[in-house]
Amino acid sequence: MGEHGPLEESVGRAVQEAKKACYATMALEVLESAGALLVRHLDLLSHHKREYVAAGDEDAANAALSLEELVRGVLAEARMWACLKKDRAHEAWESIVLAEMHLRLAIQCHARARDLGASESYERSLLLQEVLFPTVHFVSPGSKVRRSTCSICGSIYGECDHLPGQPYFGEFCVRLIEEADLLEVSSVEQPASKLNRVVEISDEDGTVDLFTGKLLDATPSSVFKFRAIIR
Amino acid sequence: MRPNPNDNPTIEEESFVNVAEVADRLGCHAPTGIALLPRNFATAESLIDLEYGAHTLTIRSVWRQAGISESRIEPDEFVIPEINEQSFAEWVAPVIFLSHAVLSQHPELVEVALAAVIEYARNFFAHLPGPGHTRLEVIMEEADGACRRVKYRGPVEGLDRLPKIIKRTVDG
Repeated sequence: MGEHGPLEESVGRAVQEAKKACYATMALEVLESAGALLVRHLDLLSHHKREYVAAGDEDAANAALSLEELVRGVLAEARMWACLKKDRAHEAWESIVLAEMHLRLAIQCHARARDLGASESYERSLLLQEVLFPTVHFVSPGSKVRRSTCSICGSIYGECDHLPGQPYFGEFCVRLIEEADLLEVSSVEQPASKLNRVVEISDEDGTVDLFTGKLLDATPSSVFKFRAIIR
Repeated sequence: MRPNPNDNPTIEEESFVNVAEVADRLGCHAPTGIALLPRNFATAESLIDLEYGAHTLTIRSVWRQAGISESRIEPDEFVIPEINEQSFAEWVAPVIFLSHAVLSQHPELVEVALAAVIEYARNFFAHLPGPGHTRLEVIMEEADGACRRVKYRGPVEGLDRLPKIIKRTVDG
């Protein structure tokens, strides 16, 4: 991918346009239009990435990957705003967490995404989590992994030279867990995945959705209970 | 970013179990050079109880790429499972063992091994806001087989102090 090539400039403009829509006052149709523009650029990036891979240009492929993650991150933030407008609090939370995850990948994948503001978008995603949502109670599963493989080459994990989270010809290395024992689920302050969280609690006042504050069931519970999502 | 008590690095030194003796008791290979130890090595009652900490297998790959020959403790065909407890807020390194032989005869290898781990920790937090926090334990074997443990907890940048601390501990 050439320095500041046409595709990169187009992606940069699309991201800037989408960011203009990412505010609480913006109309739903404006958000959706911004989202559609980003999706079109995802398709373009995917197409070009395949070409770079075919040409054996790993750096260009990884640069395209970083821009894909940047676009996915901004798209996820736009979806968060749209979900909030539709009163879908849990989907909104999941969207902003996905934004954070994509933007972190974008930042660390290649400088191209950083050149187009991925770092600022990443920090924004963290700020939005703090100011738009109530305190989230995270849970984290702890497991004992007995067998895992590398997503790039299929080797037993740890026996090849690929490292998780690193890009290789436009694809992130992921550790694929194939056999594991779930040991426990813990309450944590800083989880690996913020998608894993307590969503409801039940006590003598009934069952309450922690994100919306809505009373889901007025039936008092004789014991304190909670429901969590773990993915 | 919220203030984090881990912003001030802490380094502790303490005695550790005789690794060779424990390895013999558990039925695993006694490490002879640079090794990765299970996180519960000192307290495991048997071989099947051993658990590697998160990122152990990743550092295995990192060392191999750096040209470090790891002295594996697991018997052939035996797999020590790895605990999967990840957090993006803190990177917990696997437990590193340095034999007396490698400390006294090949300090350059120790330097390379530590540098590779420190670089990986830096890259884990590269381009992200905040200091990046990490925990790292290094077990050093003395001539008589006794071992000492150095534990670091704090910002990634503070890891640069570790090689000097290890050298000072070795030099006595």
